[in-house]
Amino acid sequence: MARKKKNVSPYKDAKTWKKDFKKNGVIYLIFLPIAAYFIIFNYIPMVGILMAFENYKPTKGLFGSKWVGWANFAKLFGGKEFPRAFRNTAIMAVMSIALGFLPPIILAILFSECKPKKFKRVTQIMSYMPNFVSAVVVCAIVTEFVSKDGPITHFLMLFGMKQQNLLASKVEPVFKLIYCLIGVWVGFGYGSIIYTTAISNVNGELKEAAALDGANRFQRIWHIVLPSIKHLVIMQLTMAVGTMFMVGFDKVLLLYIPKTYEVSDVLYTYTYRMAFGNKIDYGVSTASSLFQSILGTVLLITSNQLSRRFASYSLF
Amino acid sequence: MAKNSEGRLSEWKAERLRRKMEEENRDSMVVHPGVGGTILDIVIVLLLIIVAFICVIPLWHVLMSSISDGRALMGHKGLVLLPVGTKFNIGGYMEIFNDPNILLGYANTLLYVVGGTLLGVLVNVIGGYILSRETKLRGVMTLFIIFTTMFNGGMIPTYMVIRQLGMTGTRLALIIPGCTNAMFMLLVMNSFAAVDKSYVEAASIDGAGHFKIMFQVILPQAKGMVLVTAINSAIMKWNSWFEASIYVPTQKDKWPLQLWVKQLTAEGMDFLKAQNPNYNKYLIQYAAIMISTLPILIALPFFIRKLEKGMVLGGVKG
Repeated sequence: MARKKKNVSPYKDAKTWKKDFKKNGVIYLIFLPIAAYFIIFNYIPMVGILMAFENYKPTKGLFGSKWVGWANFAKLFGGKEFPRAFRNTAIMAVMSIALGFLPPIILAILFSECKPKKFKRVTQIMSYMPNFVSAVVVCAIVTEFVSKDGPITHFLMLFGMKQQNLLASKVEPVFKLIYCLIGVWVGFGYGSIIYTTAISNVNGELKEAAALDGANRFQRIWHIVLPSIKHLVIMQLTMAVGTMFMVGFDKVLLLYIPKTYEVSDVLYTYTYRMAFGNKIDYGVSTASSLFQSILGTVLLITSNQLSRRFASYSLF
Repeated sequence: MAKNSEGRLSEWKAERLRRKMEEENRDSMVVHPGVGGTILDIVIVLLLIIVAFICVIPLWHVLMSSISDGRALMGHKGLVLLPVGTKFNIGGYMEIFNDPNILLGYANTLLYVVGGTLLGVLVNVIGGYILSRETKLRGVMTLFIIFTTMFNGGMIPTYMVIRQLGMTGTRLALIIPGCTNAMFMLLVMNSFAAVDKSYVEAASIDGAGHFKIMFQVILPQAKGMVLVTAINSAIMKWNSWFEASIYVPTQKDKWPLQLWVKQLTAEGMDFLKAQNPNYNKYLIQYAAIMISTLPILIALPFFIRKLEKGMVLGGVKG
């Protein structure tokens, strides 16, 4: 019955439209509230992007404020804070992938090679836990751990580091490293799920045959497991690179202090400060967020193209 | 009711049995050779113990600190693996449960989680149903939804819209705007589209309306994915703080728990410099962290299998 319907579906003329409305009119009617939801919370804000080209005053509204063209962008790139935030964002994004991409894969291989099933399940669930802890709590814990008397600070002092609050350090990679390692801690267990499943779908007979042929554990992983998850790895990498400017910077907002803006300020926090901080400038703030979002989209499309060309795989 | 739960139980037992058999099967498939293999097994177990340790120890540290003696804790350096001081001290928790602000925060969080999730499920089921029907505008409607994943207005324009709607300063701002997103709706759509159409047709011949079909015919058959989106959205709401900090910044009676935790942990530092600190008030930070985190971690083993399945099906990241 379902098939019959499909055969009729590619109508072309007005008559069929009329028929369609008669039949599915109620469905379209029910869709209206859903459409309204997305229009209000997603599409109207897109129109608000015009603010990036205005000297926006809330009292005058979006269409009453003065049009200033690219002045806000000139202000951004001419200033000191925005280029600095851009640089920090780019470094943190690349570092996050460099540090965070492999751990879930390695962990998934360990899980798949682990024999005691109950033990495996318990460690798996424990490794997921950080993902479910809120950003506020994670940052509160981290703040304590790297404070002057924190466990991590004390641990590092064993290796000759001097006692200090690491979050207040202005030394270049310290804040960024803390931020990225938090990302690894939060995500590597949960991130392993997708690989673990893919590995468990690897053909068991293939593994068995390899074992009978005398392949050892490492050879089996290298020649059978890894090739079978290659596509998934490429897909995840494409996704990670494509979305690296879009995700997860709210933790910076919770961790940074004015003293370290030089090394810790990112586009997200800069945008936030220009909108909700002491010196509010909605135009500049929107321009900054628009820049970040365009950069993100370009990156996503580029990484997708690259992976299509070199790995013959694409997300869209 | 009783019959229903019994049915569930047997279903659950069958699932367990199936899983056990699967695992046994898998074990027998791979041949493990000799001593080298056994050593490697031990190494893997050790590595996983380290991983589990790294993942859990910070939370354990907070848990143990929260039941320590506040004064002794001040002098303690490094990790707290066991409660510091001579005996358990639940003073921090007492402080919390005597603090009307935090209790209200807890209630607010529950309201936002339940309200946002229920509304989200409603929107997802309706939207998913409509997008899964074979209509002429199906492609257009789907594109309309998908487009929002690729482009968005950003922080300030969204804020302005919500302000224009008069939602800032009200609880609605924390329930309605984030209750669903395109990703969730498309996942529900896909799972609805996979339901056998003949059920829908039979129901509509019997005179069932669209709402009856979506909630009584399709939803029971595709509830897995709806549940996955609901769990994800509940966790997101439970852990969210940023929205509250911009939409209800000064209305402390509407703050969710997370914002109180943020406030407490930031303020605690100043508090310690006070002349006569009440050490239990210092513990309140740890206690607040625990009461805002433990409920999800305790529930985790019960819903994690759903999430794992959902992630594989839809590539959702929670």
